[in-house]
Parts: sequence; structure tokens; C-alpha cells
Amino acid sequence: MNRYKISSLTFSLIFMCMLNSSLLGIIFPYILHESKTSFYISLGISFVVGLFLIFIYLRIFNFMPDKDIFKKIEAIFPKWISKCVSFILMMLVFLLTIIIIWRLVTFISSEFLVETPNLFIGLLIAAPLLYASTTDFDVIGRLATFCLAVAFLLLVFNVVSLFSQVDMNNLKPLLNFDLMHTGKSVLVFTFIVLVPAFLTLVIPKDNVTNSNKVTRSILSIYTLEMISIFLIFFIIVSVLGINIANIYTFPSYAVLKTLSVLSFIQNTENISILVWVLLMTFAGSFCLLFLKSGLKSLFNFDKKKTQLSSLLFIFLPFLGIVLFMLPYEIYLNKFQYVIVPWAINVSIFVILVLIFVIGKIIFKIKKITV
Amino acid sequence: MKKFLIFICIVFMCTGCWNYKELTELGIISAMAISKRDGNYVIDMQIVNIVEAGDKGVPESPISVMSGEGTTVADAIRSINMKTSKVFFSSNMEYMIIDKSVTNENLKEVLDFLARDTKLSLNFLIVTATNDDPKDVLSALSQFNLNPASNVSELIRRSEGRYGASHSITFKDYLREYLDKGITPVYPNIHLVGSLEEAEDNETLKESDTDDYIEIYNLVAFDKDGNTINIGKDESFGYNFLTNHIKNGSVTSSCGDNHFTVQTLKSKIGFDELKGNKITIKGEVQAEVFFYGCEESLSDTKTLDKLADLTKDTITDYIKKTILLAKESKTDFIGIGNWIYKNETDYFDWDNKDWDTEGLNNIDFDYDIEVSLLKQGNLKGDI
Repeated sequence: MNRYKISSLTFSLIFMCMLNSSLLGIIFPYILHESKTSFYISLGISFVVGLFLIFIYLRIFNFMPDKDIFKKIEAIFPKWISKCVSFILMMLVFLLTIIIIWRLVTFISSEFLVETPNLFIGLLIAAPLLYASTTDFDVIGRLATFCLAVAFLLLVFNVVSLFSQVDMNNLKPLLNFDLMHTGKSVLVFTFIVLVPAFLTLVIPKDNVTNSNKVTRSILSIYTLEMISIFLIFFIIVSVLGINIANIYTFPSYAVLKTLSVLSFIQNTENISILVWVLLMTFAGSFCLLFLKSGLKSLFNFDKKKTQLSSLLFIFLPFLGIVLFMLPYEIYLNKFQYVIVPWAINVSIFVILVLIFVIGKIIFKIKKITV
Repeated sequence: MKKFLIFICIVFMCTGCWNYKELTELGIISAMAISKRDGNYVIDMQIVNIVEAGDKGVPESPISVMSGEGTTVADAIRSINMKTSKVFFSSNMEYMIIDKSVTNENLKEVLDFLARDTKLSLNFLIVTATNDDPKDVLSALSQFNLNPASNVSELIRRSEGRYGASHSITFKDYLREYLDKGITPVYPNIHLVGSLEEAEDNETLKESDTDDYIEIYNLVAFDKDGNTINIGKDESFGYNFLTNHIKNGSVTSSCGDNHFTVQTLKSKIGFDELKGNKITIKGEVQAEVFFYGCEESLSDTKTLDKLADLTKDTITDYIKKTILLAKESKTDFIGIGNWIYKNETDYFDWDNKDWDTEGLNNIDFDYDIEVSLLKQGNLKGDI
């Protein structure tokens, strides 16, 4: 598993893809609902708070650089405790995978393929995930590069096409916030956006070539990502107006419905929105690879058994999504759909921080330098 | 082998054959009308028939108009399925007629349906037809376009930019104005001139002179009770100048007993600042002489200054008339309240007071509009 090598740039691109995993249908509608036209204040504060989370991430990443997160757990805790911690972490990531894919499938079923059975949509998404989960992190790194290249092209096309519709008056009133709502949106944004990127801890630092550049790459990528997110929020609010943006479940899709290039390229929203389909599918694949690594570590599976167990882990979420969660989209209103992923992400974050802190303490007690 | 199997699976999944519809099975909706009659919603749909105009003219009507009725908008639309085998396709809809009967408390239901429908775009136009049955307007054919809906939408868009007395409002803007504070949407009011029998007859398409066609009658707004506010030609110009919808509009002013017309090249007018209860309307209009019928020689630069001043007075007069109409009708269709809400939110208690009745009439205006004439056509002076 650990034979692969990826460059610091590829590693950063995987990190960036994971930052996009929960934007569509979770972060966009929630921040617009809470912050309204003052989204830029929430994003500004979130950027600073996010830097703090990235600092923690880098500390964990640099801790025991030859080990992935599961090996770190094994090294820190006694055997049975380490298995329990790994299991809890995997269960949380398992739930996160379900949330990401569930949001993707509900998006597709409610906007593109309204008359297509849920099972069919689930299988449609399962195929690329199934294939991606049989590969290794170097392959997924190349996939991240491809996804971000397409995402960049589509983002540029969408922004340029929609720019003629920007109405700065829609951004007013500029100061439309209170501490409570801003605080809530910052907390939700930082944890839901950043914590999925913490799953890249499954890649040991030593497997990243020129790993001394990782910090700089991550910080650059994070800044670029925040600028992109700001640009998307800016376009949504300035084109639609905050009141329209607020009534849609997927405002980033609604804004694309207004897209009209030179009065003859219209109704292209289904192509333009592919950026999210790609990035969320990638995030799902990476989560499954994380689980595959966890399974191998937890049960010491050989390669063949790992493949079988990973297959099992792919179809369990899908059974859950397609047969149970999908019909209940309507009950997961705007608050519940944020609370559940937020709680999962915070739990993952707390566990990772605890692993790091306990590891540091234990090694300090044992006077082991790492 | 494993990759091959996965490839085969993906190929079968991505064929796009699931539940597909042939073009002939689709009823492509080009325009729609929503009204309310006897407590029920009535939907009229203009559906495109795929026909080709041959040497002998148009063999059959290029459109079909169908109607349905129901207790909700959705119910009314689905009831049309009892009359046709077509599967409705609404993504290419050009415009929608919102009848006066649904502009009061029923409007929320209508907008809910339109915004919720995942297949509708946000770019179709919203119009009204206060003088006609919406179904009659939808049934009229056009001499200029086989698809009469395209003709109407182009008519509205072009006349707004090139004349200035019309206004095109997309569903996106309409919905925003409905949801925003301190603004009421303005509709282009289309009207069927002549008789319906002639207008919907294919044979009239063969004639070069017809008295039966669709025109833009005027602009209208509706107050909270659904009463019609007719916005006249001058007020429409004023509205479009204030909301910056004019591109190449024409402004005609009098010079003694004669007249001259300028065509705007660039116009940017807006609310500048609120001081006390007074808003300054500030802006700049650049124009060219389009027609000149006055006696003074255009070779004299003082004449050009005078024409600019007269044009400024005309535009200011348009705007004053528009504001007066808004105040008299107690309906802020200009968006004065919306500007105050966005720029001076604390000026008014938006949550507990009604802007139209308690705020609008307290506002006074100052005018600071500059007009400059940049061109005078082919002639260096006058004939």
C-alpha cells in the first residue's frame, strides 16, 4: 500500500479536491441562509480560522512522517485501543462518505434525472467509485489533477459567462450580519469544508516527494480554494440576488440556469454543473480508499482480501443511500442536513487532534524523539 | 478482464436510453399563460408543431394552444395530459403571461410552481395582457417568425433597447423583485390588435398587409389588491431611464412649434444619496441628433447646448411623471424603497411598516442630470 510516491503538488491537489466535497447542497445554501449578503465577512473569518485548522493538520501530518494515520494510531495506543480508535474513525469516515454521496445522488435525482429510478443513479455513481477504489493513491492523485483541470475550465467558463449579469446592487445591504449568525456560519464552514481534507493524513509524509514543499503548497492551494469559493458566492448573490439564492436547495445550480452566452449558448447548466459531480465523486472515491487503508490496517488483510472488503464497503453505503436515505431527502431540511455532517466532521477532527496530543504526550513520557 | 467488465458495465449505464423520449413525443412549450377563473387556475399552453413552410405557404398551424384547469397550477397543467399524448418540455419557453387575476395573493402559488419546477429556465420573459384573454394572445400567429412566441419575446427585448417605452423582465428578475423589499414588478402589457379569427388563421401569413397582430400596448404594474396601474408612454420612458434599461432609446422634445429627436448612446441615471427625506437623482445621458426639425441652425454650438438642455428637461419631466404615478398609486414599481433598503436600511422600519403606504410619499427628489450631444448624423448642420 505504501509503495507509491506522489509529488507535493499532487498531494495538494488531492487536498484541494477534498475541500470541495461538501460545498454543493450543504455549504452554499447554509452560508447564504445564515450570512446573507454578508457572506464575505463569514468567508474572511472562516479563512483565518481555517488557517488554524491547517496548522493543526500540518502538525499531525509531520508527526511520525513514515506512517499513515492508522499506523500512527497503532504506534501510539496499545493494540486493542488502537483497533477501537481506528474503527471509530473509520465509522465516522464511512458516515461522511454516505453524506457526500447521498448529497450527490439527491442532487442528480432532483435536478438531472428526475424520472430515473434511484437505484439506477446509485449504480451509475457506483461504477467509477468501484473502479477508483481498486487503485492506489498515486492513481487517485492523477484523478485529482484531471478533476481540478476540468473544474478550473468550467469555473472560468461559468464566471466569464455570468459576469455580464452581475448586479452589484444585489450585494447590498453590505452589512447585514450579527455575531450569532456569523459565528455559526464560520463554525459550520471551517469544519465541513476543511475536515474532509484531513483524510489525506492516510498518505504518509514520507510518501510525498519533496515533502518540504507540502506546507507551502497546502497554504497556496487553500488560499486559491478560498478565492474560488468567494468568487462562486459573489456570482451567486450578485446574479440571483440573496432572496432567490436563499430559496433554492442548490443555488450554485440555479445560477447556472441563467447562463446565456452571446444569446445562443443556453441551457448548458447540466454541463457546467459537472464540476461538482466530478469533485464529489472524487471525494467519495478518496473516502473509500481511506476506508480500504483502514481495513487493511485493522484486520491485516492481504491484498486480495482487501479488495473484497473494499467492495463490501462500497456497496454498503450505496445500499444505505439508495434504499434508505434517498427517499427521505425532504425531511432533511436545511438545519438537519448541516448538523449531521458538521457533527461527523467535528468528531473526526477531535479524534485526530486527540491522537496527535496523546501521541505527543506518550512519546514525551517515553522520551522518544520523532 | 476486470477492467473490461467494468468498461462494459459503464458503457451500458451511459447510453442515455433510460426512459428516453423521441422528439415527436415531446410537446415543446413555447409560451404559457396562467389565470384564475371561478376559483380554479387556468393554464393555456402554446405548443410548437414541427412544420416547414413550403412553396405554398404554411400547410398547418405552427402552434397548438391547449388549456387545462385545476385547483392548483400543477393540477391545471397536468390536466392537459387528458387532452394530448405529448410529454411537455418547458426548458425552451420564451414567455409567460401572468394574468391580472393571479397578481394578488395568488401570485405566491404561481411563483412557487415556476421556481420549483426543475426543468424551467430562469430566463423566460414575464408579460401580462390586461385587455385580452391570454389564450387569444397565445393563439395569434406572427408574420415575422414561424414561432410566434419567439416573435413576442424579441419584440419586447428589442423595443426596450431601441425605443425605450417597453420593458423586458425575465423570470429571475421578476422573482427577485417579488421577494425584495420596496419594489413591485413592472410588466410589459401585450395586446392582440384586430380579430382573433384573422390572427390565428394561417392564410393571413400569406398576405403582406395584416391588421391582426400582437403589439406591446404599454407597461403596467399591479398594486397589492391586484388593481392595474397603467404606466403611460412618458412614464415608461421615465421608468426605463431611472432603471437604466434604455440602450438606444429615442427622446423627442419640442423647440417652439417644431420638434427634434435624439437617440441615446449611453444612459446612466440612478439614485445618488438620501439626505433627510430627499433623494438626489443623478446621471448622465449621451446622445446623438436623430431628427432635427427646429429653426435654429445646428452649425451653431449654442444650438447644440440648447438642444441638450431641452432633452434634459424632457428626460427630467419623464422621471417626475413616473415618480408622481408611483406616489399616486401608492405602489413603488420604480424601486425607490428597494434602493433605500439596500443603501440606507435604517431609514425605514421595514419589518413593521408598509413602504408603499407609509414611506414612499414622504420622499422628495432633487435632479442632477447631464445630457451631452455627441453626434448629429450624416449632416454637419441642417438642411
